[in-house]
Amino acid sequence: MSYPGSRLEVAKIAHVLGSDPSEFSFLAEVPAAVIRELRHELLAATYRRHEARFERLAGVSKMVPPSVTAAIAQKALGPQIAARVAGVLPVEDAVKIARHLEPEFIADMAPHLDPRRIGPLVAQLADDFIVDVGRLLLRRREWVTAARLVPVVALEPLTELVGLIGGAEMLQIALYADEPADLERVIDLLPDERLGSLVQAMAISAHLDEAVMLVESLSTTSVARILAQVAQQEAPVRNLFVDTVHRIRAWEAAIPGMSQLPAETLPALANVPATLDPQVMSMVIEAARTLDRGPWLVLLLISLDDEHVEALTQVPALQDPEMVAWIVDSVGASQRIVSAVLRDLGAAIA
Amino acid sequence: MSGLGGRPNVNEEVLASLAGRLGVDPERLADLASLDAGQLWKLDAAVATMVAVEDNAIEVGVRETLESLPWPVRGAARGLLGVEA
Repeated sequence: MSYPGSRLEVAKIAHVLGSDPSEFSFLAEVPAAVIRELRHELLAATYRRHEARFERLAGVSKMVPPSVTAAIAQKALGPQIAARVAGVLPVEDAVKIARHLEPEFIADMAPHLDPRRIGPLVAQLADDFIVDVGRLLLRRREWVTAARLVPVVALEPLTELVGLIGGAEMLQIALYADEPADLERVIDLLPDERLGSLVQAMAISAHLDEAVMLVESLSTTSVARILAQVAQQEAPVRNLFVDTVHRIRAWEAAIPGMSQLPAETLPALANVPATLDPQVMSMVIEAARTLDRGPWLVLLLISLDDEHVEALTQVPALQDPEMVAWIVDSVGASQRIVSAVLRDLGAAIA
Repeated sequence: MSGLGGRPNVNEEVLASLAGRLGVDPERLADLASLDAGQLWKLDAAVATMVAVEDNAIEVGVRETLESLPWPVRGAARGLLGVEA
């Protein structure tokens, strides 16, 4: 059995180990959180084992001017160890040295940098320099590295870098983001039409399940923006998303975002082949009740076309008198109308 | 302890090896115990390789850094890095 999100964590840990993810596909049978914890232990161990030595190398850097240290780092130390030493250098020293490094060398260092240690350093580097390094990482298709560095890149260079890539590339970076907040930062930078290209990339991705799972961790506003783009896609894409949300049991994450959509958007999401399945609509109704979204649920039900209304007669949740009573109660003034509609649908109404 | 005759089973042995390489208590890796011994050995071997590559990169980096330093500071740098001339 493969756990949700584990395949992406396998790719991330393989990146740390310098191996191909296929060598560790067996790890997908372990929960993602366990692989993530192991990855963090690995990264911590790389520093812990040699921290004193990295600090002594940092001490050596003080014996010569920053330009000489930079030249030695590029010629002798190599990107891997230079990245470790950068993590223990005082920020002001690291900034002076970094200004003399070639962007290519910093891009070589990037996979070995610990974002938690180098944030203050990156914050003091010129935006143009960060963009140059970022361009190289994107050109090299270093998605895992790029995603890890999102939280330490300032808004302006991040905006410029995000502007350079298409939906498929954005999806790769989103998939490998370490924290939901990192993903939210990128989503916030995307105008609606570019969010649409991200949605299209998700639809043809082998990681659609994982991508939809990521959506679960976003703010309601971002989920609504993404769902608005889903609603504008062709029917097969809309159906694929609805089916995926159902399959990974993500209705409770999707419904608050759907509730923010204008009513005229709902039919595009509600009238897809997946929602003809009574089990799907039953789960939607149950999730809406859990979230206490009765008025929205009624809005959704009245946005269904005839074929879908007919299918409602088979929905188990509507055969539950308690559930139906909750729907009627939660709509307030229009209770008689809603009762009549539900009765017409064959719901178990008192 | 488990397994025949009170010997630790293979999984426990590999997890102890992996924990040793990472410098953590084997208990921290207990959630990996669902993997079979072969899978754990593969993981342990990959970590061993990663550690060896890093160790080698440090040795080479330190040596070449010393050779690249201007000669007036090499002695002091050797002393700081604990490397004999």
